[in-house]
Amino acid sequence: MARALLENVGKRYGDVVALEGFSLDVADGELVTVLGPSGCGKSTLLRLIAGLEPMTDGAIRLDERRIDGLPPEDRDVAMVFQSYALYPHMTVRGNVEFPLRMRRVARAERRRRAQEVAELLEIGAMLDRRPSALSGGQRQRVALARALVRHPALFLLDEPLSNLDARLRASVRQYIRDVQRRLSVTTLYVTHDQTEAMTLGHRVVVLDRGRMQQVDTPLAVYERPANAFVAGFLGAPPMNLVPGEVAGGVLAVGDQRVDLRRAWRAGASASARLAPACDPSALSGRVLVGVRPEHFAPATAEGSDQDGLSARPDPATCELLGAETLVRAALGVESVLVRLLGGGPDIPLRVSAPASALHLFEADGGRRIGP
Amino acid sequence: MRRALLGGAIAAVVASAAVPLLLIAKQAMTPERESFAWPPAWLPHEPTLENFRHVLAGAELFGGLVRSVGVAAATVISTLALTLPAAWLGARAPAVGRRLDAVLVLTRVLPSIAIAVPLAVLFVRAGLYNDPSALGLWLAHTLLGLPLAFFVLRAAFAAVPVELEQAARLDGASALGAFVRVSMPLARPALATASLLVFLLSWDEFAFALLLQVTNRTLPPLLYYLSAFGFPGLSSALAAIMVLPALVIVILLEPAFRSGLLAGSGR
Repeated sequence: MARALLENVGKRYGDVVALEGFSLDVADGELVTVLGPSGCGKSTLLRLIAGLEPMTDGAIRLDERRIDGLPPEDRDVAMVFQSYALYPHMTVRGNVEFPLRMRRVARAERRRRAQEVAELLEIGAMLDRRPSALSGGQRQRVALARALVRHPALFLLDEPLSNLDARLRASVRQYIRDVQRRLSVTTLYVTHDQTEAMTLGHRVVVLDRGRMQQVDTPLAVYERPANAFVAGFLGAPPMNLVPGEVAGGVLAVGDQRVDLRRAWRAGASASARLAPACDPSALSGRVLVGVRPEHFAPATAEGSDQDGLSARPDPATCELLGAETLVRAALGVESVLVRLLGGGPDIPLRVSAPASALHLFEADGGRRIGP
Repeated sequence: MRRALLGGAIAAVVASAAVPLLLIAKQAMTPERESFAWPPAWLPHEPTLENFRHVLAGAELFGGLVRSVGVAAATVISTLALTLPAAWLGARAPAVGRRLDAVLVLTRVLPSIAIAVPLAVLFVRAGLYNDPSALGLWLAHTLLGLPLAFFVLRAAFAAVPVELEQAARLDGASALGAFVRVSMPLARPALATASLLVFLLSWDEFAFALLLQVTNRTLPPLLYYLSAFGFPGLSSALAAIMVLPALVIVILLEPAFRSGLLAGSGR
């Protein structure tokens, strides 16, 4: 157990930047998820911390100990690989005891600790079997046991659920969460699955093209995305982004006008709960407007909702999912995705999203500018 | 119809392997005075083991047997000691592997009889020519064994997921420890295969043996002299003796050839 400190960590392969200026302070016992599309550098990050690849910039510390120059075996870092990487020629017990054997732990003590972690992960009955005789979920737990048995200072997980089927994934996810909280082991968890990132992490790091886009609590990342990439990556389905223009506190999208001044007063919007009020009068020029699909609601009559953006759903595109209904809607010349609660086949003629649910991003660069 | 054809084909293959073996066995048990009897018989009239007795009692033949076993065993050890690290490197660093390929293939591209002559000159100067314990031949056979063992072992190491070694490092093993405790055990079937192939390569190697060991011979040149100078019974007994180790090794190593050692590492 330790605090992990990453300072300005970077990795280049020749001219290709895999990771750049990555800084993160992981508190003792905290679980931070690293979320990003494939190729964003998240696996590289883990491999740098584990010492499987040399890094080109920065420093990594566990508590006060600098580890980035050490070989992997001296870092006190444990890792669960995406493929589990169980030793096929050893029994489950051999696998779980391996890290202890490498540290010359006495045989009796080895037995005791392997038994202990096996009970915790419910693999106590399989200790004498080979990995080839286990199911995917059981192998996953053996991999977790092998990593946790020596109480590492830092615990790394590289997409540990991606090889499980959907049904198993939810239960193992819960399980990893419980075990991590119970042992309060400092953990970095890499995934491309936002459900995992949101449900497991105390905090979420969003990574794209080797650069950290945002780090915050799951809710904050969802409600106040730092830029258009995060907005468009998180959420299922993700946030709609349409071009607009703002001047004098009034937002123009197509031929619709939305007065932002009232809506953006402190406490008025969901996102504003987490941030100080922002003055829309100060903004001007072209912007990207973000609206989450679930923030649209059926609108009663034409023009009744002056303080929001309205759109015209196309019933032909409707997807009934039972608890909710997804439908594409025309917002001027743009098309947005709308998520309506309930599975009814009746699609409203108009839907609208209140001004307080709108997010503004820079038209180029995508940085969040309000609220 | 198809079954009959298949059966015929199998019978042909089995016969082509079995008939020479049976002929060797028959000739080995035929007394030398009966060897040139006309018409030839399928079975000896007076089966005897005297040929085997002669082969094993003759000092030169027995010395040749010891020398052959010694050279083959030493060649296996030296070849594996050299190729294990090289094959692992070749599997993990493909750029290095390709360079090693080129060098090693070179030793097999040149006709061995053509290399044997300059090698003999070299060994004369080094004092290894016709060495009683066949040190020179051992070096030459190691040279021949290297590419064979390298290609077999490299394929095996390439099949071991690199993540298993990385996991071992993170679990606290040194680079060498990860190799010895994880990669080597998983390459065991290939180690057995490579040992067998290299042993047999040395066991029946003829060209180097003929030219480098003019009087302190190994079995293949001895067999050649025995048959060339008209001892079909003795040479057949020797041939039968030479077949034995191959059979014994195959039977001993059979469990190691079973594949599936890598199952269960992932997913």
